[in-house]
Amino acid sequence: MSDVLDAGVHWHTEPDRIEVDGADIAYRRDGSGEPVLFFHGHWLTRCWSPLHAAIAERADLIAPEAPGFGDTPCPPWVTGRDDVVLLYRGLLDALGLDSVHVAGYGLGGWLAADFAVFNPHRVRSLSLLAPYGLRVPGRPIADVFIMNPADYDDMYFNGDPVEGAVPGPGTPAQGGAEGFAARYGDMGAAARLIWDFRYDLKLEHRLPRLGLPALVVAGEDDRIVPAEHPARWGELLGTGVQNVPGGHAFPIQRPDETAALITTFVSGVSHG
Amino acid sequence: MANRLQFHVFHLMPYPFIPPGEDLESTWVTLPNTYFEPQVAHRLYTDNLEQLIACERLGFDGIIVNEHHQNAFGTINAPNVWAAYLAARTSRIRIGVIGNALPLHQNPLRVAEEIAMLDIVSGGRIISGHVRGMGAEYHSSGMNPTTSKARFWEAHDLIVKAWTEPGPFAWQGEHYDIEHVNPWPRPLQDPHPPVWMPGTGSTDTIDEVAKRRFSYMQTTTSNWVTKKSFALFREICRDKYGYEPDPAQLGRVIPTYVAETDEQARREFMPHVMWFFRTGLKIPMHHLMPPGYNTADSILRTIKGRQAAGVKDFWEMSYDELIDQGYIVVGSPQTVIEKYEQMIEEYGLGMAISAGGPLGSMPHWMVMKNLQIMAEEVVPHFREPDGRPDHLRAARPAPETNAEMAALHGAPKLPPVVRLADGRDLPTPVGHIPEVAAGADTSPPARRP
Repeated sequence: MSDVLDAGVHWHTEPDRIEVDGADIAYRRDGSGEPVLFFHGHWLTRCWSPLHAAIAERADLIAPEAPGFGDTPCPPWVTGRDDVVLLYRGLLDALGLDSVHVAGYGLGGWLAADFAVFNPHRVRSLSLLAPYGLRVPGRPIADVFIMNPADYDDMYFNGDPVEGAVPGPGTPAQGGAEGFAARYGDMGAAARLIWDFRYDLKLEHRLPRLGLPALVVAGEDDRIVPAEHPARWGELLGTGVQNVPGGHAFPIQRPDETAALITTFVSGVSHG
Repeated sequence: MANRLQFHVFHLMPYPFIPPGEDLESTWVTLPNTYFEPQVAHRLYTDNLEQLIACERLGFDGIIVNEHHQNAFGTINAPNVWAAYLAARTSRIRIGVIGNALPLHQNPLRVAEEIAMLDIVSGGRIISGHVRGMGAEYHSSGMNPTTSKARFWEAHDLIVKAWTEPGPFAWQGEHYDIEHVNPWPRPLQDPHPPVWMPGTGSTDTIDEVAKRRFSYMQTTTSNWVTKKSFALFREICRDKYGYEPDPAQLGRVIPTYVAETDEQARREFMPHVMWFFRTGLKIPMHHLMPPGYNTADSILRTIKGRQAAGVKDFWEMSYDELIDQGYIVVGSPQTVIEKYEQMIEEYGLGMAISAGGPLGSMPHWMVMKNLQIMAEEVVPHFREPDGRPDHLRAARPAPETNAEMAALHGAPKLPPVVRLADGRDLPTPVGHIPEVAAGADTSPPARRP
């Protein structure tokens, strides 16, 4: 294991591991009830955050780490989102789960949508938190790949940071070389999946044909994902947008409120 | 007979008319291009090009341009265009494009073609540098930093194969799939133009360059980092690849300023050096290192290594630190000669790059002064008694005149011809002469009765 992986991360927990299609997938799981598969975005790996904990109070939460992120090494053949989606399907097989509720945050929301597009029969419902993946002309998602870490508090938390939520904030000198390198590694894994195009125009055609129960949640004042994005997701999926106070980091700023939206939705879907 | 040290003049063509680095987040990527005044740049570029052209008459070994994008530090985004201009305005001096940033381009064959074209038109004077491009340029181009290293090596291998193996052939790689590789023209130099690769001292890069027997060019670093890199290069050449490297495989970018006295040189160089390091190189980590440009492990090693060695960012260094740690050389001719002698003795320097000439915001007159004193009072010390650069003693790869061409080569192997209806081939150079073409039926085969 590299030095990078043990970087001091808030809410850090040791993951479980499972082999899927020859890949060594790290995942965390807790709770009971309806199974919810949760996909992280370009940050918040290596941890069981208050959001995870709050969802796990009312559901069986399974949170894998995608190849190259957190504690999951990247096999050389993983070069795109399709590879990740296939691995996640393999994960369900390996865990003996036929179908699950799928949720995702940011890039994870995009992966959740991809997962549903290609495996609709394995998805009971879709919960998307500030999802990436669409192009809204004139309203691009902020370029997190070039963002100055000194601006994270402002851009993610709207000036109201949650202590310790971002590993290695600022320069290496401020946050520690390990934390900085860990975040750099996660960002590199995200860039592998979405650098070339920060959106997938095919979603415009695919999402309306999904026919799955969907929940779209947005931060009230998200400075990373402009409000037009969740609004468009809502239109394409035939649902509205639920707002949670806070910025892009709303799932960390308001974990209980965010979790309640998801678990209430999941429970509604499963009890018809 | 070869000189002890080569001197190459490197132009980045900076655009220095911007606010101080302290007031800027970066001089790369996000610095608004409204600071760029085209009328000012017209004069600036004309001066820049004249400086490089003058180097031939002054007696330098080479003149070098490079590729950078969307910044004020170095504004040459299309170095092959500049090289074409320099080729037209000079006749014997070597011209380096150090280098083309291979992964920033969709089709590496474009680089193979342009360098071959330049090599032909310049009479075999081109040095082809191959680089990855600065991390910042991935933000500026949309190209993917996470595959850049792999694309770099594949592009490089494709280019060298395109220059050296008869086409057409198919290239089916991980990143490039080109079914018909068959570039016209092929380069003049045999087997291909010399290849230089720059590096900051990483073992991977040094190993790859040593393996291919190319020239390694250490970018702006301190004396001790250069010494370490060169020692590693020699060790890898000897122990892993079983050969003794030629001195011309060991180059170093070492910005140099020479004037009448040590004091005068220090005075004149100071503001322009400080502009170069404080403002030109003001590039924060989040611009310099896009995600995936390096691995997390290698970035961790680099950060820890820099912390342990107390390496500062360029813009945090003082003039004295830059001089004392050997990032730059400044002084009287005697002082500069001594510093170069030390570099030859301590680590076998074979090529001094940026050795005299422009740096940062230096005005034209000062560049010309630096070049002239360098050429007349420093360079001859490292030359054979004839004082000439090596290239003036070497055989030219192509005849320079039509008469020489005719005497040495005769006619091209095949004359251009038109096949006639009667099966004869009419040579087109004389095909218009009635006595030769008499009665020739030149109608296309399809229309012949």
